[in-house]
Amino acid sequence: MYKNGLTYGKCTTIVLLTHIIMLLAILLRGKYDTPQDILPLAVAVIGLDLTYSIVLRFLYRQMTYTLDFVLLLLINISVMFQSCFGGVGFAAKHYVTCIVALAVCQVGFLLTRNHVWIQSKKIVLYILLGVLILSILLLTGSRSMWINIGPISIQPSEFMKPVFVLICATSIREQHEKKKILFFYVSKEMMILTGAFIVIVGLQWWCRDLGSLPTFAAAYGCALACRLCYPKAKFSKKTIIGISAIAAILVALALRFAPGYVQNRLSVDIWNQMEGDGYQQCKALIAIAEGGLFGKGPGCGSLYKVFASDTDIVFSTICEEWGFLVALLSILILMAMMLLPMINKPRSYFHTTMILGCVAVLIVQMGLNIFGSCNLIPFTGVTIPFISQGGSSMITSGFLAGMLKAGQSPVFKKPEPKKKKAKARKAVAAA
Amino acid sequence: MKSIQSIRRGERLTILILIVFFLGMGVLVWKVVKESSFYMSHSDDVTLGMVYDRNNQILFDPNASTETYDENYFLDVGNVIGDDSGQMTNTLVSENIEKLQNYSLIFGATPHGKTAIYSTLDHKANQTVYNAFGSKNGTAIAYNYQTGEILVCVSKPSVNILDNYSNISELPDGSLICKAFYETTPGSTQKIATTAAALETFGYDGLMSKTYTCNGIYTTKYNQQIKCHDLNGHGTQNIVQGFENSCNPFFAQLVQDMPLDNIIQTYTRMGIAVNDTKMQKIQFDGLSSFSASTKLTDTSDFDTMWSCMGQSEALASPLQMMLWESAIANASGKVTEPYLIDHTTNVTGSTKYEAKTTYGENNIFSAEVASQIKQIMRQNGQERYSSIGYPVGVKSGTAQVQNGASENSLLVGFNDDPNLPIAFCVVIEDRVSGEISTSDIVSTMLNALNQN
Amino acid sequence: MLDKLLSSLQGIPAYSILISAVVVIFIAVSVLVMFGTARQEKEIEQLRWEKVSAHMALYDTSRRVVIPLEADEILIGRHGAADIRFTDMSVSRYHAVLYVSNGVWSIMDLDSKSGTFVNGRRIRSQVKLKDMDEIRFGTKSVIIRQRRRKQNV
Repeated sequence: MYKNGLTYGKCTTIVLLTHIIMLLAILLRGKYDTPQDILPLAVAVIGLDLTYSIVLRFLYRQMTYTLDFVLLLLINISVMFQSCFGGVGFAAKHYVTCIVALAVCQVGFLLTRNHVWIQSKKIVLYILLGVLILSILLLTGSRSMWINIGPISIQPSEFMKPVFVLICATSIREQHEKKKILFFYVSKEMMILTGAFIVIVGLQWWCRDLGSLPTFAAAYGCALACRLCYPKAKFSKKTIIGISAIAAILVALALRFAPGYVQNRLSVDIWNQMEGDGYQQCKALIAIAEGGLFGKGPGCGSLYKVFASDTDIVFSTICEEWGFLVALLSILILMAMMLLPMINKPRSYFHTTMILGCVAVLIVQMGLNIFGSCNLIPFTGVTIPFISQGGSSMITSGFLAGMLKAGQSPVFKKPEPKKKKAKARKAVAAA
Repeated sequence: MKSIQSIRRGERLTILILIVFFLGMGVLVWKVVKESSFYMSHSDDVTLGMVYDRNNQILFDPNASTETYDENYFLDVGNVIGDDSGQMTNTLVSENIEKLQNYSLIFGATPHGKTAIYSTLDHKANQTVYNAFGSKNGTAIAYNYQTGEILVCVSKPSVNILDNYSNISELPDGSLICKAFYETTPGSTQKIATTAAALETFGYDGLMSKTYTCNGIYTTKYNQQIKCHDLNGHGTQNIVQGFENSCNPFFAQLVQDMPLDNIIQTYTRMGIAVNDTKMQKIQFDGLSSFSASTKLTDTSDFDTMWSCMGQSEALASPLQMMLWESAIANASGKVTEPYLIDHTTNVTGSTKYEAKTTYGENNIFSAEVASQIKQIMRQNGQERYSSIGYPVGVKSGTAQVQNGASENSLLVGFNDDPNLPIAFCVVIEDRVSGEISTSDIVSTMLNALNQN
Repeated sequence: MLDKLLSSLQGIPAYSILISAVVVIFIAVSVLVMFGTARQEKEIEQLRWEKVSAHMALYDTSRRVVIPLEADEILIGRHGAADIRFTDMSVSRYHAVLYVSNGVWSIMDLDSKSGTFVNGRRIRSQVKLKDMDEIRFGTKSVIIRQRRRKQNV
């Protein structure tokens, strides 16, 4: 019996069974020297399954657990994917970041489940965003997005994503705090949001990291759509046309004056530049074809030799080893995770807009990665949430998943002025 | 439960994003399904299947070597069927390599799959024709004008793919292309097209009643001389005699009497690119071929007259000349579209693609004109080419190439027999009298095809 | 022995397809099970929501209908965008917002022209609501009351 009164026997069993079946598939089809090679992976995966189920059962207090199970399913599948690239082994680093992501998911949930509380802390969010931006400006090497601390490299711009999504989220109350500037009623908060977005865009431009720009643009676009359409109820045609025209002009200008390397990337004919700019994409597409629907078998692929095979073109690597169908289904699990809040609907406007932002960020990342590596859109170096390797992106994705969960098991308590701090401490302690 | 409206709006946007992504995934799946064979053509994993001829003789084997095949086994089809080495383009294998892959999206790469292309060629006849050329170079192409199956396609000099291009620098010019698909000077065979234009302009009776006199040399009104190959002159002739004699002064005067627009109209419908208009290449089974082109400016002009007689600016591919014969032989005015692939099989051995007989969309000339030309050509065949031994309708041609340094001998025509419906075009390069003639090769070819 | 078993298994035709198909089926089934569980959770969540919202609902006295309160922020007004819409001309387009917190509903006026009244008194700031309170938007009046009590009566 879980805290909400349901038993999750079916969920636990099916998650465990799916993982065992996949481990069996590795045993039966994989490339390894001795069957003992699979043992560490099997122990790690099944161990995490059981441990997390127990943690969920006894330690987590929430109304919905499905998202946790979906996340567990996905994360262990991802561990198995990553462990098999180019031969069965155990991706210990990825495994650790996965566990961290699970923990961060809970932190994200606890921080955002009470929207009144998080809204009262919005000023902290702005400060956090400012700190992150400053850290990028000051701590990273010249014009890069990475901070290197010993063996660990951190990408602060990743952490900006959930913060920005939270800033984008809004409640009805906030939307009605409006002032008339010239002819428009604009809320103060909207102005700050736009300012923050412009700063982020400028920063990304300066850092030459245009890959994650669409992610922020999507989150901002959704926030804008929510705010614009709110007072009008129906999408006013004039507004929509006007906004899309401005957006189109901005995009066109951006493309026109984009730095040379960006423009090169937009117009790569990959099959004519198989040894040059199109190398990764060509290899990725060939790998998808080579794998066919059912794959060559875990560890039997050859794409792992290509640079960024476990991050930017991870979809193709999975396609080659596990087959197109399994790769598509793992994407389906991710989509299912985002569909869950649509089944168990949020009860507050703030959570709705927050979920919208999370979904926009996650989907845009997935889209950029998958469609980019398959040459449907220009290739950018972004990651698939939870499936690609990478600490910063894992933690960010975990936090976003926690926000999705918060929308489903919200808390409606207005913190009493004096007890505010105590409650917050309690919330952190529960994590 | 009806959810609150302000929340529902956010949900709708969320679902919209998910749907857009889902559609994107749909596009991706469609793209992969459609293009996976293309991606595989860049892979090292895949093996190729065989190409067979119409009697299941092997025309291409990816693992061919001199140990398993006779030294000259592939010589006659070297530059038509080609191979996967990438040295040649516009060959059956190089243009259809995706269809030959032992690969399917479902099963992945299968090393011993049953993928194959079954060609319409008759390897035995092809070899016979190739050998018939002896020491001469040239090209011969023949197809069934009722169905469109290409039965013989020879281009000499050819390349022996079993040599693995070790002697590529020593190969003579033109070894790596199938000349039947490239332009050549058509010579007097162009007079078929000119006759068609005349028939359309004057009508059958009108043309039959026209006679012109040949004194060996005809002087145009711009005072240019058109010489006949018989400088003694042919005397006064009608179209049938002029056609048989292939009399240049006769056709020069005929062209002069015709409005330029009529000739251009007929030529254009036949697929000849007149005066730098864009040429429609002939495309079939991934292969592409030159069709025909010419320049016409003034029907009294020396160059225009010669262009109408297959010299000067006139160019045509042997394939195109052969295709015109199908419209005449069928007496329909419609070209039977050619094909070289009869059917293909996939990895599991089941038939994936099967060729169908198709005809050109538009008549190149009316069925009436077609049967009238057929009659003229048949008469020519009966009277001058009975040595072939088949009821053929033909037109010969002698094309001066390299500024008159050498002469190519051409013969285009058809066998007017429903049991052996063959249209053909034979070109012997740099032929001097006394050597093997085009009619000998046609005779050999029809005999070889008749046996099978 | 395991090696022997594996190599003998690999002789089975379409062996790899079979295994992949099983994996695919299991992943698909687990996604479906998750959706099924999510639907169960939805029912529980609905029950909990009723507890959070103290079983409260609005009761439109003139039309005699019950308006459920399904979110913690509810916009009331004449505009099509409003969550609860009253077409009465005395109601402003965006008239007032209802909130719930700790199981207590409260109402806030959004600078409406005709004002919002609780039990006949015009409100200026956020006001907490009790069971059976009468709320008036302009001339439109509704009663907030517990659903269960209505069933008992």
